[in-house]
Amino acid sequence: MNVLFALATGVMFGMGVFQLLRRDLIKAAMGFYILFAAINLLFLAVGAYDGTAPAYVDASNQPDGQPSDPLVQALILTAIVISFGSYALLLGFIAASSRRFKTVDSNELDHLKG
Amino acid sequence: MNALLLGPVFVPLLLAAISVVLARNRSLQQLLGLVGSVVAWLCSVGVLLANLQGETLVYRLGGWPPPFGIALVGDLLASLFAVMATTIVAAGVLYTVGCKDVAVTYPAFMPLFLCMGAGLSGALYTGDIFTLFVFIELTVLASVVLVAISDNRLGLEAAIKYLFISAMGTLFLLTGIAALYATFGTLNMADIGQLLAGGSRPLLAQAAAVMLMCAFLLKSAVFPFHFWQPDFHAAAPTPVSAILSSVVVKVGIYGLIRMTTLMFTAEAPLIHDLLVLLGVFGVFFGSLGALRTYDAKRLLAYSTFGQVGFILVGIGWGTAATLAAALVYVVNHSVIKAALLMLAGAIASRTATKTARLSELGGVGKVMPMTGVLYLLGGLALAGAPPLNGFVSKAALVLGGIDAQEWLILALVVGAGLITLLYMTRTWQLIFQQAPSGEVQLKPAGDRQIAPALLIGLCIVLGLYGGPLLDFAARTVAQLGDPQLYIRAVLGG
Amino acid sequence: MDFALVVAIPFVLGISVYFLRDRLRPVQQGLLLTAGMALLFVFLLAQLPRVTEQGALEFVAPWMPQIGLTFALYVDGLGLLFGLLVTGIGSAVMLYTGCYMDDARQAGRFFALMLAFTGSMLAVVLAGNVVVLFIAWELTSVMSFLLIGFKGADDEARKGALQSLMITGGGGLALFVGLLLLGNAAGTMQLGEILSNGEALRQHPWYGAFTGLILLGCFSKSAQFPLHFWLPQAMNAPTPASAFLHSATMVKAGVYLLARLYPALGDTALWNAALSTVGLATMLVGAVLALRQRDLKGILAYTTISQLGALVALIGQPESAGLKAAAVGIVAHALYKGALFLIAGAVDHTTGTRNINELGGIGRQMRGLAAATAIAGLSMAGVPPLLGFVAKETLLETVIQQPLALAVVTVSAALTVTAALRLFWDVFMGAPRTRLPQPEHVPHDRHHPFGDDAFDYSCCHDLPPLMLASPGTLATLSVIAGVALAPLMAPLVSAAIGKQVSLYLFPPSGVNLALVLSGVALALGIGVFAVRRVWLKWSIPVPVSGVQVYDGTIRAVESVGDVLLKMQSGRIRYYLAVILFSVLVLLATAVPNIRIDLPTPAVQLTTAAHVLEAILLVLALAATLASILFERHLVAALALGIAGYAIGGMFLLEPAPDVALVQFLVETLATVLIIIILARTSQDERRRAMARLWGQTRRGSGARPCRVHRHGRGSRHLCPRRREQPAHTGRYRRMAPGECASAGWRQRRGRGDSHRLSRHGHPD
Repeated sequence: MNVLFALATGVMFGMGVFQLLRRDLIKAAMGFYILFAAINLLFLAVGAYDGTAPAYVDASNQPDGQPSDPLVQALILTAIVISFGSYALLLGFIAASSRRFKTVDSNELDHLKG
Repeated sequence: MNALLLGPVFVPLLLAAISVVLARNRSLQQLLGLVGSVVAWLCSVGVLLANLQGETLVYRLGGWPPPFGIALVGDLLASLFAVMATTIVAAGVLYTVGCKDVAVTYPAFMPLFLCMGAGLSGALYTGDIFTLFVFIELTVLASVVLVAISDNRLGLEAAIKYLFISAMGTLFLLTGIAALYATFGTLNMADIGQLLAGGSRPLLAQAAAVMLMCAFLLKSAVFPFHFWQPDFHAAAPTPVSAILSSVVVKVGIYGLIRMTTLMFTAEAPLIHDLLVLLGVFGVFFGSLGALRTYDAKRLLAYSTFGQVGFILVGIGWGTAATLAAALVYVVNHSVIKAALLMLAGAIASRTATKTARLSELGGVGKVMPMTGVLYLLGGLALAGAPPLNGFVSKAALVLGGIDAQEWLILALVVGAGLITLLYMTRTWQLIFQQAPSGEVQLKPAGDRQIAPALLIGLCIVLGLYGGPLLDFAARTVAQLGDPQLYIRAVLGG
Repeated sequence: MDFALVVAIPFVLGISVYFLRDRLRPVQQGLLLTAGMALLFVFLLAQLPRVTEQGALEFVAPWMPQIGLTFALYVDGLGLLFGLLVTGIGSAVMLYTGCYMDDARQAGRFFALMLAFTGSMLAVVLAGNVVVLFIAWELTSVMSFLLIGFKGADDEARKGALQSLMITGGGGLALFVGLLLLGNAAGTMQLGEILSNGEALRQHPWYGAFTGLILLGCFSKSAQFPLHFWLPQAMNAPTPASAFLHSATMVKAGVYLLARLYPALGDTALWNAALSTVGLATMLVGAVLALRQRDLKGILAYTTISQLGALVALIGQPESAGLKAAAVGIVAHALYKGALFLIAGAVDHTTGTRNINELGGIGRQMRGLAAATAIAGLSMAGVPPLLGFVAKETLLETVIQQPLALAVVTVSAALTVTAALRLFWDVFMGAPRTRLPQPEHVPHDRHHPFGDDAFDYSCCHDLPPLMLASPGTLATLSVIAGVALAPLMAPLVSAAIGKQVSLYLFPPSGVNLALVLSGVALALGIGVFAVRRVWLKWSIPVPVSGVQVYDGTIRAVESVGDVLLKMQSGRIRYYLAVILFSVLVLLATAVPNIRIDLPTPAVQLTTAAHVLEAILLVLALAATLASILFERHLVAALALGIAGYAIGGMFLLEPAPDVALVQFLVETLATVLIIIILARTSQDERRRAMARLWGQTRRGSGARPCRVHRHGRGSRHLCPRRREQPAHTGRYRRMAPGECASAGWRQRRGRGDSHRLSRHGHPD
């Protein structure tokens, strides 16, 4: 399973980078999102222990089996929220820039240089 | 006492939330901003004073003991950076109050500005690497929105570029965090430091070191991760660019220092070599870029790129003296650069088109003699002319370099100082001495310059009376030399 | 402590004058400052006996020990000699400036800078710590920069100011490192301790390094060949500043430091060779180049360079043989050159020109000025019994054993005589000239009182007595000092070089070779002057001038900057690619021999959960791939959504139901969001951006035909070019790179657009 996971994460990263480097800014934003999804996979893979039961803090109501790593889940949660926020902002900016500069081609968005 | 650590982080956040509610009342918002930044400053100074008593403050959020809970840690290094950051943020808020930009009138401006400040302090005080990431993201997202709403229409382009590039930083940081977690099962920096000191060196930890280093280099806009910086500064609202160029880039420096002194002490020599290499390149690219670029604010951005190079060289030389010199350089450069960016913004705010393009700034400063004096002082301080604070940091750095006997790099670094002098005095002549070309129409009033005046005053004070700062840096380095102090303070025992 | 006040008082005076500039007329300001400077002069003079008796006075207070900085003063005869020079010439210049400046506000500003310079210069010569010395040294450079660029609207003035700052500032950086190295080698930054440590320092392995750096600093400050070119450019400063900084005091700071460090570093093979070579070369070059000058201040500047060369060469003489001659030379030069500069300013003031070809015969109207010029010129030419003669004699006596040096000194002395004669004869005597056509005209300080076109010497008048007083006094002092050698000069020089010396006008043992050579130089100089009509027509080809080298260097540095700036290409894809590639390189170098231990079995698909997870994984990958392959944004976005749901499913299997819930929610939101955004962006734009995946065609290079591509629906679209889009041309103007805030767009945009943008900025 680990090898599969590692491979999948790697492929995900690769696809994200490819998509990130597209000229179309909207596609590039999708690449951005793929990369963060890959990060989530990575976190899932590095969980300290593979659980068979959800990690609940409440000890009295603990289901049977090895609980999954709660810290990793907290990390993923935070990462999801932050990456979604960035993604949303990015898409908003791209839409605004499409109105302002009449383009979503990243090569044409080169007024700031030198 | 330990609760003081909450101040610089959560007071601005709280006030940011309140000022969102008060969106309609701009002056009340600004008052809240001032209060928040001053309280943050006071708290950080309080932490610093406690540090001076020999205490390392630790606050455990929610009462959970590390390494499980999140801890805020105020040791000398964090305090040094945090006091600097809160000072500059307070100056930025002060500048915002007198700023004539349209952007600062938006209801979102002040809350975001406060969030940026809170993120900065949080990133500096946290003892947990994932929280560090969260606070850095807070700063990035706040500043990216602030640049997008800039009066400069290209702010949007700068925002997109910054967001993309800083996403790379996030990516590196998260990868590094994941690798660290996979190796050690903890994210507490003290805990990781302890485990690493125990001798285990898995390959994954080295990869994590590289990823973290890249993330911090990206935040510090070091070659080859610098691309976002000139664009950002040229387009951002003045107070935002002042904070970004002076303090936010220093968070990366802080991360690098923390990394090499607390966690990856064994890898430090390798990292140091790399930092010297990148630093020298940065010094030259930054200085030469500043010499040739076309916009006063962009020029200062390139200059930051160069000055960060000096700091990296100081860290990279690796002796206690040079690290202390780098710390002094960090503080002095922040003050100088924030002041200069504010002054450049104030000059631009007087032009009809609100531009900082050098081709349109010729002779603009003729009607602003005081600004001219301040700008010249700032420029000379940046170039390391005595008796201003830039000289103190440069003298400390050169003395450190002599001790470390790094002749070639020393010569290069000193030579680059001359280029700094050239571009600063040349732009000063252009703005304040040259006869205005054609009919220059100036606005009757521009941004108020209380904040830069105060900061330039601080430059002079730190130049004439730099002893305490030098001492403090030396003490900080002494404390950093023994990572066990930090580890024991955080983990207890 | 009282010496600390000596340093502080000029600053205080400068600030006071600046704030009183609206209340006091320039003459009053000048008188006030003259009084202040004279007071300092008297005070310093009164210390002379004390210093002669007790040796150096030291004063130390702590400042910043971390960088070796103490507030230390070290007052000995040498320092006092220079201090007297600064305050003495300073009082004369202040008096003169009061008459020279018309506008009170401008005068106040000028005086403030001059006084700040005076204070810094006094700090240089009285400093007892090498870091303090450096601080003061740099301050003099900065003040010089501000004074040269005082008339900032003048392009030449700005250029000259920047050039002088670059040369002296660059030299200053070398000096800085040199001094810190020296301090490190000596184990102290205190001047007194360094000076008493000379033997060890000369043996130190770093001796060559720090001496070379310090010499570089001194040579740049004292305008030594080949760094001499900044000094003539500095003549764009107002004349009082030229007289004070660029002839009498600041340029002698280099000479001062050389003399100061002589006990610690001097008299080694390196020292003597470097100083003699550079000094003699400078002496000759300065004297020769002075001949070609037409500008009065240009002539004075080049003869100053020549004289500075002589001083440097003297300090490079073995066994401190040259120090006596150097001390006499410093005083003599300051007196006559200060006077001549002030006179040049006065000529400019009254006639409106400094071009020697336009001047002549004005001595009839300006008798007082002519007399002062005659005396100062005689001292410069080295005619007895003036001080200049004594200086020349001692110089010749010092180098009498060295044929080459003797020849150089004699020739330079002869050419200096020629220059002095030109300054006097061609300006004040001879036939009145008419003004030359404008292009020949050199920018001058002040406009003619009757406008630029009027040029009538008959209205030349002698100067007001107060303005004449300064050059007159300085010229007279040359006579007095020359005559009264034993009571006046001998104690001063003895104190300065720290041993008793005897000075004499004529050799006590009768005629000697030095006297003969002096006569030869005088005759030669007069001869060269007599045939000036011949050589003034020659064009001596100068292969390359220092200014050209300087400009070329700056241009070369700038072109490197241009190349580097090309890296900031403005294209985000390039940035991202560079960043990602750099990280890969760093990773590969840091973790070179990575080795992966595959777990056994490598793939474990035993339980149903594992199988399900593997299926979800494949689904996520496939959906992601689909999102890349689908060209249409909507389809791609939906595919991305599926990938996200698949990952959410994996979280569910982890089991992490809460994370999975958030993931599903966020994924839904993200997909909705992107669909909204798609609706808000123009389809044309998106298609255009998609048209060439990796192509780097520059926008606007419309000559290349667009590639036709197949769109999703099977219809064929020509990818539209911006230039061919009438719909956009009205609303969108191509912006030049970086054209960020031109008036055009602002008018069109107004505030509304920003608000709209900020709404998009927060798509809640």
